[in-house]
Amino acid sequence: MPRFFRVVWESYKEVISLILILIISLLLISQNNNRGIKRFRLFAFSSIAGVSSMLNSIFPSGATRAENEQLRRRNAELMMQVSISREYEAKNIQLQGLLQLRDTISFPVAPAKVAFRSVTNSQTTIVLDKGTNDNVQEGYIVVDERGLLGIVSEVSASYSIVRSIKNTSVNPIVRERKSGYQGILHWTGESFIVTNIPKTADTRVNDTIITAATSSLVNFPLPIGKVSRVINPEQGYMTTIEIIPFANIERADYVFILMQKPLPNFTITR
Amino acid sequence: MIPKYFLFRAWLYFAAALLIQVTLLPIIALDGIIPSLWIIVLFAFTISEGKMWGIINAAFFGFVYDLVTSNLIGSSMFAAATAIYIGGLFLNEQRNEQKLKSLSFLFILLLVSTVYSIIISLFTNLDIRSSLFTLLLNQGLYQGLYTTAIGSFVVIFNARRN
Repeated sequence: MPRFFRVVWESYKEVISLILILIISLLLISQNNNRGIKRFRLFAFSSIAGVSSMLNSIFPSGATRAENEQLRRRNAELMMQVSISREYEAKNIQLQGLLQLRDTISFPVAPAKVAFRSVTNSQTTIVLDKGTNDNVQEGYIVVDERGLLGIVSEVSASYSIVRSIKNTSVNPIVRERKSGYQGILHWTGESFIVTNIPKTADTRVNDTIITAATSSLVNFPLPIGKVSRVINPEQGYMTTIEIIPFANIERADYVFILMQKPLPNFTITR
Repeated sequence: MIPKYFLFRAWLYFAAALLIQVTLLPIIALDGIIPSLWIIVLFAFTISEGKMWGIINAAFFGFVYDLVTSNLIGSSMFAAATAIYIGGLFLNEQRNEQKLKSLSFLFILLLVSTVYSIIISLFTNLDIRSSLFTLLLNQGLYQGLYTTAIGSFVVIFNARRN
């Protein structure tokens, strides 16, 4: 009997090994939301981020870094103020001046530095140098000075992993700024598209897309991008559009964390 | 068993490739397509060390790659092991080292990286609106071609060295 197994193994060892590996990988795929695997991934990511930060610190920064950071923070605040101002402006027009816009709006934002960025064809994941020690929590929104960048998905003591909008599992509800018609944002691996927009929306190129208040991921009006193409202008009941994001997902070195959750019991799943 | 399949030199090359993969290669991305440098390293070592080595190390390298890139854990493991197995079907038991400086290396690498990209896209960003042709072309062949273009440096380097 052992001889039989030995003969089978010698003849088919590559196939047997491949099948075993495929079974193990499928088991791992099914366990991706497992707490242990999440912790392991967080540990690996934090380690890489630590090494990356160390490499960055070897090259000294200029004296303007602090000033730049201040300016970027101000930019992010202004971007959010402008965004919310436009919202109020639209409502103002609708309600014929019944609404009053507050002059100053303060947002609890925390600046953060990108410690490490992982870019693959399918997704971009960012590690920030802020973690639970800085009160960052899972679900916090991350922006750069131009618009929405992503959502904090996992947090360790010193680092947080941000799932950028360039990820197939981040699908916030968005809306066209002018018309208010809503759709769902998708990253297809090649481009950003917004699906399920009613044909009556009359969406045009260069229209601005922002996040919708009904989104459980980001219920705050943040700029997402501009319409670059209407994919199916004469087909189907719903319009699908392609957009170009405002946020510089691949290049942003300094970002801002909006220190509040969209919903109190918010959790992000893969 | 473990010493036979654990090759320190391969892991060193893999670590370097991984570092370049996640830090530098996104800069030379063409229309969002990034070549898979670590697949080139894996396949080059598979040629010299054998199919069995390739399949087992594809699993380990894939697992580490998934961890570092925050991919779906197990997806690269699955894709790389399958791709290396398919590529391995074109390798002989002997005289494979010659392939590292021949065009056949590039053809098999094209096949391996294309298969890898297609399987990965099935796991991570399968768009149900895409046709099979789009999937094969956009998600597979383009990345395969780009990876092969980068892999041609291996052939040039080996041809010059000898």
